[in-house]
Amino acid sequence: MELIYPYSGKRPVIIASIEDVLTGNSYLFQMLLDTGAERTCFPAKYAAFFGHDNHHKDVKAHNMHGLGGSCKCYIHSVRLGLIDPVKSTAANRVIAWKSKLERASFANKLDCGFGLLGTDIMYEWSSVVFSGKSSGGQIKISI
Amino acid sequence: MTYYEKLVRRMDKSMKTHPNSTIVMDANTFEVVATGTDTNRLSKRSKKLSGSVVFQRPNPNHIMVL
Repeated sequence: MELIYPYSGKRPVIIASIEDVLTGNSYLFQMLLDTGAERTCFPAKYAAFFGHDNHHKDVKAHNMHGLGGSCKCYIHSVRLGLIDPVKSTAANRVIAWKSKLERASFANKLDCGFGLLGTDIMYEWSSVVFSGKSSGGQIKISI
Repeated sequence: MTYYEKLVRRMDKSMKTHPNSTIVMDANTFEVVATGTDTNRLSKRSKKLSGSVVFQRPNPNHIMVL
């Protein structure tokens, strides 16, 4: 199955479904496809939107490393899904695919309005193709 | 135009209207239900919706290397 997502602007961003594994509630969130990221991650400040608390006593943390050096990340039980860009409607957002991975990191130093969809999830797909310019383009994901 | 294309366009438009805020949009109606920087307040508004999308405009002056 091929899923084709249009995007505007210079960054290859899709709107993905993020499911809180603990409650089953789902939300939509922008995810940048980042082949340089080994782990899918979100800005820490958005954990509350998905029903999670970075400071809960049972939340495990670890460090990740990037251009800004090392930073603390909180691990939460969320699962990413791809919404079908053709079949979905306002009343019924069709989930075409769900990740096997049921956790993601929420990074303190990640300060942007989107998450990073990393290779830990991309490797579950058959392929991903980017085509576009600085003004926008499309992303084709084969699953 | 598909629902997904409409959603992308409405989000782009909202980011231009609210360039410095986090935005909570009803994903069913495309209505902006809350904007601001207080993530606790915004997450409470988001939870009242049956489907929501949360986003903010990337700073156009920031060159991102991720």
